[in-house]
Amino acid sequence: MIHLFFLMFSLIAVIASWRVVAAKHIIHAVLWLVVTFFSTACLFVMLGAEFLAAIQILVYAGAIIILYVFAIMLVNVKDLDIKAHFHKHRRLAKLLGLVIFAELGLVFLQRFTFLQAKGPLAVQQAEWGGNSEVIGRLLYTDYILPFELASIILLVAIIGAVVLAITQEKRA
Amino acid sequence: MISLNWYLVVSALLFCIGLIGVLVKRNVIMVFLCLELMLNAANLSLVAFSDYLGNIQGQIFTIFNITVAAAEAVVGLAIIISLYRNRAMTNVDDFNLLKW
Amino acid sequence: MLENLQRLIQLTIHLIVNKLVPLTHPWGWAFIKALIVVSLIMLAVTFVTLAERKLIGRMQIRHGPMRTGWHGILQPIADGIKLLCKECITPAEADKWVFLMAPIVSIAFAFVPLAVIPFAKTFFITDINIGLLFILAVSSVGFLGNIMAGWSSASKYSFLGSLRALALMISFEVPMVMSMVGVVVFTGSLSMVTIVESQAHWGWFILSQPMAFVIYVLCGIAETQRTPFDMMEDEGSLVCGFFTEYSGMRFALFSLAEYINMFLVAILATVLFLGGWQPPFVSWPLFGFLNAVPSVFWFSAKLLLFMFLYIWLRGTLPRVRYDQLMYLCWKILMPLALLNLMLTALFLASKMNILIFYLLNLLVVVIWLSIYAKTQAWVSANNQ
Repeated sequence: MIHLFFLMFSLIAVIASWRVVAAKHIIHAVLWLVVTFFSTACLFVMLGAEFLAAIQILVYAGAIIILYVFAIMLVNVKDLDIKAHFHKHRRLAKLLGLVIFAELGLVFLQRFTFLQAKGPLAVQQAEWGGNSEVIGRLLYTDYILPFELASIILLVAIIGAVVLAITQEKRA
Repeated sequence: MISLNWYLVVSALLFCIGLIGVLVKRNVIMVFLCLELMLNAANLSLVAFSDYLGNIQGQIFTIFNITVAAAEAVVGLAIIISLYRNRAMTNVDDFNLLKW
Repeated sequence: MLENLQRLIQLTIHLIVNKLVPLTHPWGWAFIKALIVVSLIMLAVTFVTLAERKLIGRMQIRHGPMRTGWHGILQPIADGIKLLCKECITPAEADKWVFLMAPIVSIAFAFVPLAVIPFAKTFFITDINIGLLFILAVSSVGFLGNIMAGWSSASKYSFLGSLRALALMISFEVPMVMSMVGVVVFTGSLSMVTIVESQAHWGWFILSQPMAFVIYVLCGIAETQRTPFDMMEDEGSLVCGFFTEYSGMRFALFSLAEYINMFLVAILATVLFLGGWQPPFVSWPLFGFLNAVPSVFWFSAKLLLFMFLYIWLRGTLPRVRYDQLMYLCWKILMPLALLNLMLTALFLASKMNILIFYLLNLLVVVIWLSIYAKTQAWVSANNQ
């Protein structure tokens, strides 16, 4: 059963991501990207990271994708028709992609003997009550500095976006 | 039980498709979308490692990854919008004002 | 003849229950529960449309539908038959696949969140430990249906409607989630069942989180695009918003999704703030007899009360202007939600008595309201 699910979700993810690259129109690309994110979230659930799966759908599909759609709708739709929007070097790019995939695949298909030792995750989850509890605890104790840094990054992004997108006439 | 390698292969496949997209596409927004795809692939491999190593750090790293992706999307789209306002185009090749 | 029919029905039920859906397997039970929930919600939606028309009619001193059945009781069925028989038109310029998929996406993601909701003490399809997050995530994806419809129709009304809907959803999602976080801080869990159960201990969260409740209600009405905030379906300026170009059953699917989303907002308000299936005064021994009433009754009573609030607001308030809406979201609801979160955290850290916390919350609301009234008076005085 679990093999079937893995096969299904990974196939959907790969096909949808290929459709993102090959899409005729940019909105189609965005919609296929949502499908990719969804099936990746399903893979996350299979890996026991259900909190991340929900976050993935909430942030990516719910916020970032909607932001993209918004930007696309603000830009003139006719400019976005992707009929002749491929680079002339696309054969080369595909070859490069294939080579990199072959390399990564060669590395990834080896046996990871050093992965035999299991870490403390299962113990932590049993002790603290679940995946989201463990993530929450660690974010607010061991990783408090990166957490605060992330919030500062978000603040900077908000202010930066406002400053970049504001029109000049309104300021005067 | 599916071995870690298969998750990593799927992640590599997604990453390479995203990479091809970034190299091939000329539209800025499309390039951004393919970048999101690559980040997503990286997240998948991080979570897979986290599960198989029994260590939560991979998942925490993924959370920061998603945060940074959101910030990147916001700033990038703002730049695209203001570029579009000033030059009325969204092709990467046309943004060549700084080219010497 | 009748006996044969009875035996046939019995055999069919036996086949479905015991052979096709094995009850020993947990999925079999989940399937049957999901069937029950979906059909009940569909039924409820059908009759809420009728109730809405009747109530709005009464509020405007007219009768509402009267002709079909006793006092128009069969009106929703007549409407359904009419919509089924109508032709589904696809505009020539439309993007066919996206146009076709949009209502399906809307309705599918409206139904999915119902899977984690505790409708009664022992009746829920499933209980997952990230229940609330799951609902938020899935319902935020449902908005993609609006975008798909608005973009693929190739009509400027649909397009403008979906743009407005998008901006509204992005903005109001933030204070809405913030207001829910207060409840989650109290319970320490995202599971819907745990949230309901912990309200026996803390009292209903509407008492300890009054600000959050008001913020949630306002945001919920905005998110479901109901009347004071229905900028995207503004009949006066945009014919019907993002589903202008839809007709027949596809249109029906969109309005069905809208009503299910309304139900979802009402259900979440019930579960998070009004004690879910708990009877009122649950912690007082004097009112223990209220527990004798089946818990699903309390749940549906609160739910229907909230739905009445929806209809009441629609019958009472005029539409808000767009900039006023954004002002409300970012400059009023957002800081209030943050303030509420801070107060909640302070309360839990200081371990004060919950009654003092109730009073503190009320005090903050009163202070805030008076400041708001002063500033509004100042603004209107300066404008003249």
